[in-house]
Amino acid sequence: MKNKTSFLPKEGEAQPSRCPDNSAFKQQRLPAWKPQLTIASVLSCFFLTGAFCITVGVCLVLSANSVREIQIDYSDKCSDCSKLRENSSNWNKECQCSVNFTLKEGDIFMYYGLQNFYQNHRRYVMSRSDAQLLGRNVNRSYCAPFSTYRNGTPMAPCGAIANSIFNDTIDLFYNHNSSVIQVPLLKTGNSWWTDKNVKFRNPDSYNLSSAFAGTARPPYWQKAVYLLDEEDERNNGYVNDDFIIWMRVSAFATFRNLYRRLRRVRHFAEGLPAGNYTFHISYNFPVARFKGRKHVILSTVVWSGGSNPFLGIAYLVSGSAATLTGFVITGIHLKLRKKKTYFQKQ
Amino acid sequence: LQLLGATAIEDKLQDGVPETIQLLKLGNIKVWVLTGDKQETAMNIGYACRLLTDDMEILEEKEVRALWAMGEVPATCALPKDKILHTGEVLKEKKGWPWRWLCCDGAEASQDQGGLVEKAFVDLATSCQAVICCRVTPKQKALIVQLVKKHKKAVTLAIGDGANDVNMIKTADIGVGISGLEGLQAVQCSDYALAQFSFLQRLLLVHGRWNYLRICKFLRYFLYKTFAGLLPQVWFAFHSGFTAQPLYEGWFLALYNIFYTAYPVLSVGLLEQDVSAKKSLEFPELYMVGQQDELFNYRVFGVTLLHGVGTSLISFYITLWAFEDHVGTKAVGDYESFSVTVALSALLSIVLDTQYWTVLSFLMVTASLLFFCLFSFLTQSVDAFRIAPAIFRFPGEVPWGSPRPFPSLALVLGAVSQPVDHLLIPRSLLSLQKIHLKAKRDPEPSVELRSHVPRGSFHRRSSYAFSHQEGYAGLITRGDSLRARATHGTSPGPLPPQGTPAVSSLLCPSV
Repeated sequence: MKNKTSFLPKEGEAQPSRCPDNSAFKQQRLPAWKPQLTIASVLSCFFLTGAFCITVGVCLVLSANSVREIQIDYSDKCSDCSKLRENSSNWNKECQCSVNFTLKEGDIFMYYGLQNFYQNHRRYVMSRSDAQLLGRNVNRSYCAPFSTYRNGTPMAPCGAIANSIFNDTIDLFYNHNSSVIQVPLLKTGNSWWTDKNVKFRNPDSYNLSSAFAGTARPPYWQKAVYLLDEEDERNNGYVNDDFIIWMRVSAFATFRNLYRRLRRVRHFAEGLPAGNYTFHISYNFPVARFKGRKHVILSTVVWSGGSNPFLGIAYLVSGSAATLTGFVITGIHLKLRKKKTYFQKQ
Repeated sequence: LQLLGATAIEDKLQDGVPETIQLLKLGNIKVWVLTGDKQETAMNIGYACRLLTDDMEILEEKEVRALWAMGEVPATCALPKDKILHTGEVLKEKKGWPWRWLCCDGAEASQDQGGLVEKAFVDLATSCQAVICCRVTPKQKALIVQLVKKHKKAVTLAIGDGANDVNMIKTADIGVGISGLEGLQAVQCSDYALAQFSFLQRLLLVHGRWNYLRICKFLRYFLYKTFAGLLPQVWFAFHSGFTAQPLYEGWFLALYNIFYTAYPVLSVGLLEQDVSAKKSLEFPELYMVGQQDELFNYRVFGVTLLHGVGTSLISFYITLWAFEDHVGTKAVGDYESFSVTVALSALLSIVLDTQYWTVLSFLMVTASLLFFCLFSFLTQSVDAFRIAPAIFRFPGEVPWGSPRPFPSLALVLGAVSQPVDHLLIPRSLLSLQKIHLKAKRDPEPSVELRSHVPRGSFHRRSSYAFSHQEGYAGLITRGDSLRARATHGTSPGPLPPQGTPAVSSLLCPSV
């Protein structure tokens, strides 16, 4: 850093002065705010933070408690199906399983949850081709070994993520006065707008099956990609909501994905009424080999997220810690102030 | 003899030299004078610039040799120190003699002997308040600096203005040349060039101190933000089966150190001041902070490491546990929340650490925030994805348009817990705080300093010196020795040609 140096001009020459400018920046005299830690500012900071955190914490905890949720682990309940699925030669045999439960109030969102399924494994996360999912015809080097069959047919979609898609089918039935009604569920509108409209595009062609001509389904799939949802053209092919949700890999080994939403029609205009319900599950996804578990979750949703009270509790803890520290500092300050005045009087 | 007049040649001290030396001594900097002048001149100069005061006990060269001759040479390290230390003395030496004496001993004895003698000399010298070496040749000046560097773990600064100081300036750790009447040789070989000696106080006490503070803060922050930013990836490995899956999106990692966290700390490193320049000069004791390595040592590094680890744990686990169930109509961008939380807590830390907020500091902090938003937006925009899907892999991760209360709350919690643990971790500057508190009160000591008059002495020493040895003053004032000298011709010449000031008998040294 250049100090205040000035070289004397040589005799007989009019040399420009090499003094640095006398500007505030170069002489380090910039106007500045120097916050001092006074007792008032520190205490007010702590107490305000404490108050804010406690308020927010209380709100979060209350709203988390207002969420009603039911989680049912069906990997054990459907044990004969899971044993069937352990043997991969049974892949084309159907297996149905029913789980009964009682619902007290209405729930709206249905999720499937997986446990101990590491979607965040590095090779797994890399094993996809975003360009292919955009409908382009590209080199799928990262998808290996799930990119082409031995006879050269490319897989559509390629990659381990697509290959391992969750393919259980879960239907909900309501036992109403000795008759069983299937609860109407929405299967679209569950994914992000950017995913549905930008990131996943079907290849262009006059109809979907010809768009995927020359490709084959991945080995673990039972249907080709253009048969994922034959009722709704906008939910078929790569832009299928279930497929999109699965392709958005989770960061952790225990996760849940949105599966269906309640369609509020007829009986269910006010949500799910109390009563007995049954899940009918077409059990296709084997989890026993890697000691995973599967759940179905029904939950309402509030602004603060869900029934996980962790954030609310964390805010409460931080708020109380801040308030407590504020009190401790106040106590120390009062004690020292008395000591100071005592000595000054003497 | 009819006296018509008197002439004198004066080599005046520069302005501000006594004050500068006082400040340096208060800042725990030992001041040694190495001069080619003879002993009387050097002593008088020492009194004139207040390096020596009347209440100091002066050890001259013969006394030193007596002390050494008294005990065994190797044991002298311990013996004379006890006697000397509590009175705080000044050591003066005639350079030629001790060196010859030391060299003689060194030549006869082994190498160790010579080394021990050197060590004894340095120990003795550093236990004194000031040292003046006279009749020193340029080579010996460099040798003395080397001696101090070898035997003492200290930083040496040599300041000089003539060609005979070049050796010393080059040997010392810091060489300062004064440009001026003696030419520019000293300036050309020095690290710093000043115009006056008194500028040294600003160089050391203001700029040197500020630079030390800035570098330490800079280092601390860089280490902290690296730990805080990138340790969550380590914690994530525990949850991803140790497969090295990165937690952050690639562009965040690339731009974290360039755009998101670099500029606030640059502004700290350029402009930070803990006390103003004026106060730095009033309280030279603040300089001791740097001498004692208080702002960056192993302990501070450990504390920074722990702080970074703590921040990373908070950022990672709060976000993890808050998002554990992935509730919401759409899956919340869990990866994105981590990077946002981490970037903002790193920024918050530098905000808390800055003490001197100029416009530039504010600008840098807001610029970093804006860069974060801008680059997140750009690298995650839909158009970028369409152009190069393999490079920009996360379109629409940050829908800034839609308010997402839940992740922002997780972020706020991570941010809010920072000040709590920032203030709870004891900062290392207890001694500095005491001095700072003093600096904010009325500066009584400095007032007393400036009007300090040496007590018990009505003598004001000047830099005048006799050209004779002691004992001749009486002869001169009597006047009869001149006649005697002219006839004898064996006495030392009345006017040695070195240019020392020649003083007539009318001027007494005790004016």
